[in-house]
Amino acid sequence: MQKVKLLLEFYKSNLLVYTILYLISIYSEPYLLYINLSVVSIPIVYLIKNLRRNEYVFYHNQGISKVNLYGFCVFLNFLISTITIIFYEAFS
Amino acid sequence: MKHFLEIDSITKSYNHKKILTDVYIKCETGDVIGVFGRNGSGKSTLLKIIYGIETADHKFIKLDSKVLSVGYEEKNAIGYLPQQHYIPKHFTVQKTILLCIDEQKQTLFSADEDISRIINSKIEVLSGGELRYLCVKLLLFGNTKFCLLDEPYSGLSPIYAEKINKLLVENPFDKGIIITDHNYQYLLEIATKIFLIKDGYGRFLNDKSELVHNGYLSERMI
Repeated sequence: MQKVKLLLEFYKSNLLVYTILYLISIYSEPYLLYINLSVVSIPIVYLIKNLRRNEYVFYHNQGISKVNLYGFCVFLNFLISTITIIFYEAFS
Repeated sequence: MKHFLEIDSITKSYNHKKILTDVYIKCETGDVIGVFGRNGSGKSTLLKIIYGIETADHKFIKLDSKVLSVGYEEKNAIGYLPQQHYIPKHFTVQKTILLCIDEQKQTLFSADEDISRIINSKIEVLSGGELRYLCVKLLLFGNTKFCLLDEPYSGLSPIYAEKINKLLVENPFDKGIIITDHNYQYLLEIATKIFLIKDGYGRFLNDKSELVHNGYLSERMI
């Protein structure tokens, strides 16, 4: 449970990037959500995080690797994209 | 139960200059190994290589009987204190404790007067000493068997350096600790083994007087 909380904290720390990409996609082409949130967001977040590399050590010390961190973000973004698309299809 | 961390054949070069040559260290739980060496001798690089955030030309790291390719990826193996602060600044101390320390250890962790005083503060408002103390304590109370501390006394007032030493001597969960720092007096107080890196080669010393013979300290310093 502690590990999931830590992964959520990492996700939350990148929320601004995800929100901007989410809004851009939803107002242009909702199906872009999959690409923007799950693919485009990762290198952006990675670049931003590389400015504060030491922050990774905080997660590594709890046994969480970069693959875990970014894998969780991709998974959560994929989930959010799918839910959004379902709502979009249902109400359009 | 004793655990062993064995680091062998560490070789690292930058721009064709060898920083570390065939370095071997063996640490067991309960040990406090003080790593000494001049500026640029490769002390911090050695810790980063062991932890896995720096590559090496060659390395062999073994925890008990298991060979590790990346130190930090092995569950409950190695914790690392970098020179710079690493806890996200927007966290509070309390949140950090909840995220990093097992539930059954949290009460013991927070019972400390120095921690309870800052428990509701954000990381970004802590002083250098308070933050360093918190970081060291988080590592000592964590689940890893070994801790690598890179300059834990750096920039600390004597009071906080003493507090950190008290923590390290208590070593409540019997971890193996490898420390590097230029504040040799604090480090010599607690080190159970002395390791010196000189000209890229590392070796254990029998006595602190050997630090003088090897040109790391002058005689009036010990």
